[in-house]
Amino acid sequence: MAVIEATSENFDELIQTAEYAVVDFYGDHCGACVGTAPYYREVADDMAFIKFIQVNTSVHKDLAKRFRIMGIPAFRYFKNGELVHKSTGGMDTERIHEELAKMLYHD
Amino acid sequence: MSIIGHLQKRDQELQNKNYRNTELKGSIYSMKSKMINCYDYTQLEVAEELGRWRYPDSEIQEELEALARDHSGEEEMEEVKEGDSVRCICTESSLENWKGRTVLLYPGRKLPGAEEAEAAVIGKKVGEEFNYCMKSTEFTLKVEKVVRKHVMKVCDELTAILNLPGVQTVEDYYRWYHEQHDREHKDKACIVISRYWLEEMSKRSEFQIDEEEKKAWCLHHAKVMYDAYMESGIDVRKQPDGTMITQEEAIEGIAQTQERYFIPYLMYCYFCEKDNFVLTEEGLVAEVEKMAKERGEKAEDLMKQADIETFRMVKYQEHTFHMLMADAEKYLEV
Repeated sequence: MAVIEATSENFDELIQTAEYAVVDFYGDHCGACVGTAPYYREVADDMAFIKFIQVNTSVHKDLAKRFRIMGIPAFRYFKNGELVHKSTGGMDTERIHEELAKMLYHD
Repeated sequence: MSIIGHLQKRDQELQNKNYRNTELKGSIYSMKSKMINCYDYTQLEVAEELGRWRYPDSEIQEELEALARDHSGEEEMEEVKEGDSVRCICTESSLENWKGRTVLLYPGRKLPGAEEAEAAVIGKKVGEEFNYCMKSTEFTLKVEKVVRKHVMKVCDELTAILNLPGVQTVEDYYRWYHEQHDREHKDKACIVISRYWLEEMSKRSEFQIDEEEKKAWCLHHAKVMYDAYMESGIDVRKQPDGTMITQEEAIEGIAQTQERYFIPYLMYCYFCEKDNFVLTEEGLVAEVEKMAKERGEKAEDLMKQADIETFRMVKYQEHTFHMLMADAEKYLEV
């Protein structure tokens, strides 16, 4: 599935309607965000059943505030609309898999 | 009624509107305002960066990758293979909170904690149950849905199915892309150079300005814009703080924004006159008829939206840019 660009208006609907969702909070002029993007897209294309979302915090500052995003890229993982895991910093495919496992197989 | 007749009737109607009483003689007859001494723009040095138009191969590669994603897809399968995405439901577990829980498995990706389950699910069919052990806990999962992704890579197979003329391989696509887009990129660079020339000419040339004529020109364009705004439901009399200004004040405000277009218009007129390029009312009618035919509309309906002054400015600007862009071509990087 392609990565969905969320806005302040559709964010809640996207999260609430997904059994599993992961959100990449990125920003303009962020090198680590640019570095992570192709891996994130590759994983999104590969793994069905998970909604991969991204939010531009330079535009949607209200969402950055709401999820207390201090450094970017930051990731938030949701199960049935509830926040179940967080991670911060640039990632490659292996690291994204590790973080997704924490969302999918937590106790 | 003929289109010319329609145009004359429409002009009369506009004159009859109480705020449309400005007589714009300048553009119908020869204008008093003009560029009397044109600075020779070919004397200007064109910076090297203005002539750059080549784009990196990464732009083409990104386009190909986007096409590959568009041609990727997924389908539901009956039996699990490595690389699939599998949705299971936990039917039995010694951990109470796992019972009834959806468990997603991605065989082959080796997600930490799910390696055993990923191996165990391979070969299972939809509806089938299987057991596995994780951290000394037994789980029974039932396969609910299996999805197999078809990720198209950037390769000759992709470019061949695009059905582009003469394109079979990735190399062909690069060649085709250049054929399609080089001209557009060159034109963009030529426009940048032409703008630079016009800007410098506006500063270095000599103009004769008739202030009354300038005022009438700005007012005319403001009135046309005012009508267009109102017809599309935007009430420009309404201020950001909710208060209302009069129609005259609104038009006056728009007229002020039009002043900066007057000098460029005089430059366009100068070059068009030099080339004997004149847009008459008959010319406007011919253009509108041509446009109506292309768009499948009635010429008379389209004529209702046409304002000859606006149309003239657009045509003169277009003519000037074409002329300058032809010269600008010499300054593009080879």
